[in-house]
This record gives sequence, C-alpha cells and structure tokens, in this order.
Amino acid sequence: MGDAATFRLWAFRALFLAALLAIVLALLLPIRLEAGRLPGPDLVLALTIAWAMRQPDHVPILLLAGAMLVADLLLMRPPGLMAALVVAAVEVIRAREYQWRDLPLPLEWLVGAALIGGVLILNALVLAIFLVPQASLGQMLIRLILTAAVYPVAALGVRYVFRVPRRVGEGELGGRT
Amino acid sequence: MARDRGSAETYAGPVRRLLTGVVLVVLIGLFLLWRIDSPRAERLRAEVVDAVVPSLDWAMVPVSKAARMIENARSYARIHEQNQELRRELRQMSAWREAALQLEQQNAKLLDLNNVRIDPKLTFVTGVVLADSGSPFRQSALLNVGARDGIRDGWATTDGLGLVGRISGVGRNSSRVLLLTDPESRVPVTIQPSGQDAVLSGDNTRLPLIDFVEVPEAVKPGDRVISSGDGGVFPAGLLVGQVAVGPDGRQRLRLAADYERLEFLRVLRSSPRETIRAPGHLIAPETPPLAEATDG
Repeated sequence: MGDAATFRLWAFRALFLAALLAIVLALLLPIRLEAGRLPGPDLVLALTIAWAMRQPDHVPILLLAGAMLVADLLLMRPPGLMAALVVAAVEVIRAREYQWRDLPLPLEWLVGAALIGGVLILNALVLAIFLVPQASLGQMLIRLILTAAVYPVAALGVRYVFRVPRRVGEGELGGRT
Repeated sequence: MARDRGSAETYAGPVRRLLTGVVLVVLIGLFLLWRIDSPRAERLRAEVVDAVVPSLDWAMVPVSKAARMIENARSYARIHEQNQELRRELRQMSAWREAALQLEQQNAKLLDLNNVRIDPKLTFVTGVVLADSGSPFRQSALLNVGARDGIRDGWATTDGLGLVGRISGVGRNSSRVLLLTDPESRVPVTIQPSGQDAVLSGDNTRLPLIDFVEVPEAVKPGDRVISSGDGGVFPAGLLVGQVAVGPDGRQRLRLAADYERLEFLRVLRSSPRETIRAPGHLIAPETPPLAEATDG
C-alpha cells in the first residue's frame, strides 16, 4: 500500500507545483506592459489556500516555502515576506485541519477569505512598518476583494479539475501508523 | 476530535513546530536582508530570474505570440479606418520630414562653423522582451540580453523613438528594464522650450508625474520633454514625451514610446564620462599603479 500511496501523494504535490508555475508564467507573459490597469486577484494565494484547505498533505512546508520564495523573486515582490505569510497561513490550516475539513463550501469560503485577508493585510502592514513603497490603498483593497471573490472558483477547481481527494478516512490513517 | 489528535501527527508535533519556526525565521530574515542590503538581494533575484525565465521560453513564447495575434486580429476589424488615418498622418509627416532635412543641414553647417563636438554616437544592443513584472503594482520588462552582451546597470533603454526606462538588475542572459511608469522610477528630464529641469517620477499610472519644476507656469501642455543627462547616468537629449495635464490637474507626461507594443527594446551603451574634480588636474585615463603611487 505504501508505494502506491506515496506515489499518488508526490504526484499531487507535483501537480500543485505545476499549477503554481503555470499561474506565475501566465502572469509573466509580456502581453500588456501599460501601467494603470486594475490589479487582478492574487491567484497564487487563492489556489494555495484552497488546496491546503482540501488536503494539507499536498503542500508540505518546505516545498511550499521554496515555491513561494521563487514566486516572490519572479513577481518582483519583496523576497521572503509573502512566502512567510503564506507558510504561516497554511500552518494555521494544518493545525485546524480536523475542525475545518468537512466545512460546506460557503463556510469554507468565509474561512479562506479571512485567511487571504489576513495574509494581504499583514503583508501591507509589514511593508508600511519597514517603509517599503507600495501601491495605493484603493488598489490593494481591490486586489483583496477580488482574491477573496475568486476563492470559491479556486476551491471548486481543486475539487473538480485537479480532483484532489479529501484526507483519507480514519481507518486508513490508523493503518498507516 | 480527541481521537483524531491521538494519531501519528502528534508525535511529529514538536519537530513540525520547530521546522515551521525555522522556515519562518529564514524567510523573514531574507526579507530583512533585502530591506537592509537591497542591492545584494536584488542580485540574488536577478540570478534566480536569469536561471528560470529564459529556460521556460519555449512555454511562454507561443502563448504570448498567440495572444498578440488575437489582439492584432481584433484591430483588423477597423483596418479601413486606420488606413485613412495613416494616410492623413503620412501626408503631414512628409511635410515635417522636409522641414527636418532642411534643419539638419542647417544645423550641421552651424555646428561645423562653431567647431562643436557633440556626444559621441551612441551604440546600442537590441533585446527581445521575455516577460513583464508579473505584478500589477510594479512595471518592468525582462530582456533576453544580459551581462554576456555587456549590459550594465543604469543604461538607458528606448523603443527606437522614445525613452522606455533604465536597466535595473542584470543576470547573465537576461536583464530587467525598470519602466518609466514604475513607482520607483525617477529620471531627470528637461522641458523644452522653457529649458526647465524636472524629475519624472512614475506612479503606476500611464502618465508619469513631472515633479520639482521650478516655474510650473512656464510649462505648457504639449511641450517636448527630453532626458537632461543630470547625474551622469543617462545620455542627454533622448526624447521622452510631451507634457500633458492629468485628470487630477497635475502636470504629467505622455510618453513618446509606445508602451502598448514593447516587443524589442534598444539598450543604449553609455560609457562614463571623465569627471573634472579640481582645476588644474590632468584628464587622462587612470592607470592603476600610477594612481596607487600617488595615493601612497
């Protein structure tokens, strides 16, 4: 049982990484270089939170930290800060895994939106404390709202497009120990 | 609930908490390092970008080409209209061309009479835009030329007509151009014909702000704006754009470069000029041993 299960686990981890990479590359496409567009939702953040809510085992901490750090570097964000906040958010999900795993989608949306809001607001606060120049408040609010709004889409995508299974049942868990 | 907690995860609890703590400390430490010693951290960024983006070119180029084709196809819809417009503009341009030729000859004659030596001709390296900043809050473009092609930090970049930005971050095979619209971009400019110096500061809108003008009344919408060469980084006299008044009533700049289709960019090679430190010193290329001897 171990081998097949391990293989599936790593396949899903690879799928997660591939999805993140695809989003980042899509963002990097040099199609529109004009300034002054409306900021879009932070898809990387929404997908990560949604995936971790569904199955935290697929986003192990070191993998996540590495991926987020590379995303920070590629997307011209201050390196490390966003990565640390996302890792913290996913660890919060991991700690509450047993309370949150059977939430219906509307409630899961609430929790996810709260986590997304926490990450983005903390990010802005820390940047303000360290006097890093950042975008205007209005633009950041738009981004926050759009990211929270796109969360259910990410959650449904994780369920039905990537077909991420829910955490294995308790009997199997007992068997694995 | 209690039964759940009693499973295998509990044994790994302290280790996991330690690991989380270490990862968070490392990441926050990296952020602090970036805040304290930004150039070094940005060099790390340039190297990571250099390793990742050019090697994923095969995936990105077809998609961006396809997206551009769709955009172009959309503009075919009004091709007749555009054709008429272009004909009209072409007629105006040929009149201007005539005037420019006459002025050029006149200018050459006058320069010859005065025996003026202008800046040596600028040479340039042309690069293809590989990627943009990926963030709606930053404006930059990644070029496929880098240290291997002799690109250095701070060089000016144009699209052939107007200034686009400056190089900020060089990897081996790639370099990043900080566009004039980026919130961190500051470029010294001169406004013609009043000859006033100003600073062009980007603020993430399409029209960057013209700041620190001494007599704002002397600046009118439509005035030409060129780079002033102050600070010794940019060559002087590059066309940047025209003064315009933004919706907020402040003086802004309409860029001459076509930011909607930046595909190829020219990086202008500029060599640092000799600086005159004190009167009576010799202006000559310094030879290291001689300099050391005079210092010691």
